[in-house]
Amino acid sequence: MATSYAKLSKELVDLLQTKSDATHQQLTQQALIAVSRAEAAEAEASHFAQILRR
Amino acid sequence: MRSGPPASPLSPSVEFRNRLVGETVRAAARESEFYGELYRGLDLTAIETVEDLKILPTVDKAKMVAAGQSALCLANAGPLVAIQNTSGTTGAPFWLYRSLNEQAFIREFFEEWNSRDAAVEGLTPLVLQLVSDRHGMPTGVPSNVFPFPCRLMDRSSVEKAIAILSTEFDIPGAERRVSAITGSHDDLVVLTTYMLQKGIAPASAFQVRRLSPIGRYTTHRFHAFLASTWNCRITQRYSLAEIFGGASWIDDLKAYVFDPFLVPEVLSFSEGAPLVAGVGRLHLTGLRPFSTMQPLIRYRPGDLFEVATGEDGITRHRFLGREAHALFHPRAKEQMLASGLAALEALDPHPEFNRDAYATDLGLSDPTCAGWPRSRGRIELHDQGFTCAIQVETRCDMRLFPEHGERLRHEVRAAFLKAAPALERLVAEGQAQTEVTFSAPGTLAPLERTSDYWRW
Repeated sequence: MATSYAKLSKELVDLLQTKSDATHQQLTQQALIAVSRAEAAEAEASHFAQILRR
Repeated sequence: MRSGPPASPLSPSVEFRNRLVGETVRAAARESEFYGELYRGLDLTAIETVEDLKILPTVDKAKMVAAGQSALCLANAGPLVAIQNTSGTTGAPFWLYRSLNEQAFIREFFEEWNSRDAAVEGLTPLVLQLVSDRHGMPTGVPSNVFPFPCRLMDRSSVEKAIAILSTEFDIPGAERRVSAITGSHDDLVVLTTYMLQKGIAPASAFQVRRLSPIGRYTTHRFHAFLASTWNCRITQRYSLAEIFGGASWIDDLKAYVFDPFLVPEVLSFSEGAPLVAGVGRLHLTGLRPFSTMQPLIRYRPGDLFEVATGEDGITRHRFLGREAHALFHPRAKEQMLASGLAALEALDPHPEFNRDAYATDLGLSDPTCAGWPRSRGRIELHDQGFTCAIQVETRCDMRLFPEHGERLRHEVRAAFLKAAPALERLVAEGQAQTEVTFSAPGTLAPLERTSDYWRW
């Protein structure tokens, strides 16, 4: 299970980060990053890491 | 409104969803008694893209609560490791079951994402995280920030939050000051108001560059108040406890964009058909393996959205409030005349209206500072049309201020109609009338989210 999850995770992240033009890539990154902020009790904000660095 | 296939080329989010949607549906039918029965007779092998979801029936919270554990997928989920719940403000709390495998996958996915993010140069952000009991329980994910959790319960906890914002930290590889705050709308407003009351100017006293309100909708006035007081950007987030993921406000688009690991559909009021452009009921599908043990497929959270797809192929969503707060035509129920936000935004700018109290233990001079105006809508049918009246509770008896009251009524009515063009047209044609009435202090109960705003 762990191996298949690692493979699928890599595939999905690849898809978001590489199979897109610049606009789509930025949008999906912003949307994805924001999840960490709003959903996370322990982590609350990984999207900030990228947004704030831009 | 029009319906049809989404614009091409496919965005990465759509490709991402198409990769997962088929197995999401088929696994639910295979492993869950409820979905197996619900989809009986349907050819699920035909589901290859998000557009194919339209052959499936929809579900809502009442159906899922009634289904109980028969809706769970237990075969491949692994052991139950977390029980979450919705806030319960729309009825009984909805229990949500999270398994070891889906939590493991979420962790795996975000660690993969974060490992690439770590290559980006820059200091790790410090974030003040205001924790709230007033909303559903979220799912934790790994992140590349250092959060400082704080719950605003009493004065000492607010002072703790201020101390965190004031502190210069010395953490290897991290920023020296907190640069962002995330939390519920009410907590952000309460914290800000407390600071102003203490003579603290947030914009100059701290180094916060971003606020992220979650939970309740932030009105235009609250948005402007927070942005100007902190002199920073506001990033609103739409999410619900039931499904992992949500939508983020993207400034450049002036719209929400949904996360890739859930499928948003806006369905028409009349036929329930997916819309490419127009206003309708939001339905969400959580994608496996992000959501595994308790699948929610074409789930209706009770919110209305406007959807549009630009020439760039990007789908934009605009939140319009809860369906229970919207005004529909009394004789044509599929025709929305005013969104749930139309009356709220018309009333909110005016300090004369009573609001619900929050944070009564903090010593605020106005404990209602974060509240919405207390109001209700009322509809009366006539032979030739109908009258819709907004009834709002005032802080004083407005009969003592008749001229001011008349101006206020006029302003609210004009703002309401401006935000509700379909109703405005009916008024112009003489088919409808609108009015604003004042209620004495203490006469209207707080509006629970379940309650229909408009009553007969």
